Amino acid sequence: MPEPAGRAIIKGDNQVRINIRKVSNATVLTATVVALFMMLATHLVLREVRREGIQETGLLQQNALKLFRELLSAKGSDFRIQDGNLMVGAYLVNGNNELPDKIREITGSSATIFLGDTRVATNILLKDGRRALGTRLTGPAYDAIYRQGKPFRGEALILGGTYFTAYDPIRDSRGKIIGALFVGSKQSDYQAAYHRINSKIWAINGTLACVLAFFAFLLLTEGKRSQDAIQKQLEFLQIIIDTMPSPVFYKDTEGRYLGFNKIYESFVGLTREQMSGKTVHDLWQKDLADKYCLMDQDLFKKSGIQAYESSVMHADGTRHDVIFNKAVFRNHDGTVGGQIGVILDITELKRTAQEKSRLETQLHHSSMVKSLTIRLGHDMNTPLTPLFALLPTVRAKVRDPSLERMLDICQDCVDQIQGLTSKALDLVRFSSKAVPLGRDGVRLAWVADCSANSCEALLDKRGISCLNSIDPLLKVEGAEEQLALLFDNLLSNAARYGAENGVVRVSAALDEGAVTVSVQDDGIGLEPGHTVLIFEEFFKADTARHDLSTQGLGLAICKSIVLNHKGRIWAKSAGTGQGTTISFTLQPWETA
Amino acid sequence: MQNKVMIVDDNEYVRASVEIICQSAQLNLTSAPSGEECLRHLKSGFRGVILMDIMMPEMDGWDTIREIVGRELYAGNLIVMLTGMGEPDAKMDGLQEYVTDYLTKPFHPDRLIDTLRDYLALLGAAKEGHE
Repeated sequence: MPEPAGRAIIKGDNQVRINIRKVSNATVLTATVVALFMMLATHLVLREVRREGIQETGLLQQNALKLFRELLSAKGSDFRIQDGNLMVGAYLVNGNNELPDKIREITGSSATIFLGDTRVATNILLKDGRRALGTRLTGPAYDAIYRQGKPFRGEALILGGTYFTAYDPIRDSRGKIIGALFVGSKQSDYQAAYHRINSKIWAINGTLACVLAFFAFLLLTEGKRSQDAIQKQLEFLQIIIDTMPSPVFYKDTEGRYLGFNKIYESFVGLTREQMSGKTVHDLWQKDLADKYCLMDQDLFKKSGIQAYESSVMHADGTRHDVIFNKAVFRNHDGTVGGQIGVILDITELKRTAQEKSRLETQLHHSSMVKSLTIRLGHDMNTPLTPLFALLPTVRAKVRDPSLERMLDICQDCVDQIQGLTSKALDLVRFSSKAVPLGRDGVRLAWVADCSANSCEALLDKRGISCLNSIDPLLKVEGAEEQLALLFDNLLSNAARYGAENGVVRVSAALDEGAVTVSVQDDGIGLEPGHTVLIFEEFFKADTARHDLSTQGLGLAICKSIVLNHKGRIWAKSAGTGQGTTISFTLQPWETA
Repeated sequence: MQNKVMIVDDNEYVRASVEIICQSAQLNLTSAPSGEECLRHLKSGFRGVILMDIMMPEMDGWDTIREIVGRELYAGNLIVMLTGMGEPDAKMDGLQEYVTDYLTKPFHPDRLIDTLRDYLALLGAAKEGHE
């Protein structure tokens, strides 16, 4: 069964690392074994070479001895001692080094003829270069020849040097041992060659071991470098995944989590250690795990891309709307390796869409109300027109006081309806109506004067005078029609609620880039809690509640107009009977 | 014919009110319940001050003015629009020059009479100038 590719992503680097390490270790081990094997083989070969050399040397000595004996036999067949000298036939051996020298010439071996235990003919030289005549036979060779009457083969110490030797006894005609023949090779001569071969072989071995060690070193270095490179690549891959702004995870075909990014960890509130190798059943509630499992199975069955919306619990305990985007990935051999998934958090998006929908509904509703109010206003104005036009005409023709009273009541009611209709329409018209920037600024003092004139009758009725101290040259950004209505409302309020025979002061000051306009009266004032409420639609202070000529819409209209001009409006009053000041801000008009 | 006024409004009571007020002020009034009727009166030779309601079914006040101008019936007349509010209307584009004044509904009888007398005097002066 092929290993899932997903796991390979995790394990791949480890495998490569393990493989490289294995190869490196195997190479080092092999090199060591090869070196040891070569050393052992060399040792065995050398031992065999040495053994064979010794054997060969022995055989050589044997042959040399045989030759030695044949050469002596050529001189005669009877060995004897005559006058203290060793003789064979008529051939005097003592002091005659002819035959030992011939042996060296033919075989390269040392050769000696003993009389008793004394060297009487030899090619062995002493350190001073003289022949070793007169020196004696000792040691195991002596024992073998003269005590046991046997030939001797083997190593022997001769005149301070070790030799491979062969000794045969020399017998006289009666069989008595009267001397010995010796041939031998100096072991140091043989060992020099042996050591030369040995050194060469060890040198070759050493070179090979060094080469192997060098290759092992290279392999280990390359392995380490590759490991570092792979590690860096994997770290980079993880950095890329961690940098992705959405939670990302990947699982094998068994549903085991193989990896994820940091956002996923913080999203689900679990750590890498808690999730690695776990399935959804190990981590989530059964109903949720079953759902995920079913979707995973469906994904593997269709083997493509899967996208579905779901609702999941975030680590912070809030429920989030998400879209799961999942896809199957394959191994190198084409088999399904697992799945990779991205979670798109659409909670904010949905909330925004819902909010947008709510605002659209509100806007639609508001638009409907506005449209209805305008329509209602027109439809009310139409029947009001005959009433408004005819009542004064009728009133002028009536002389009966009770009828006059009735007609006055009717006229007041018509005035109220007309006022209410007019104000409601003003409120709707100027509600959220952006103010176009005029080519010329609005002269504020002039607008205030116009309003004072239109309210003159109302002001005069209560003996109130209006003092406008606004700089005639001061201009503001704004719509003249709206600002005129603003002053109309404020001054008519001041005319109604200002002190009898009092003064209404209109002023403006340019401060911190804004024009603050104030309309101050010295009238009935406001209760502390009413300074904000007075700007609400249909709000009336208790003192004005029974004033049928007002609708409670004037200041709401003022607020709308000031907001249209991106300004603020507020009211101040020291309390009941202490007068009221309404202030608002406007933008000064600045020439380009 | 002197002091001629025409009220163009689809509302019968508005027309009747204007009629009563004009009678009391001794102004000669022609009443038209629609734009088509207004055009018919103009074709028949009406010349004077036209009180024109804006919102009327089928042909509204602006459509009617466009037809008056298009049929070259404007000369010798002044038009005062009867409006529910000062709301600008996209349909009035290019036609404002044919409107002498606006009278906001509901209007006080004195205001109506003053307005009509002012513009009738203007028309009379213009006519004398021509003569």
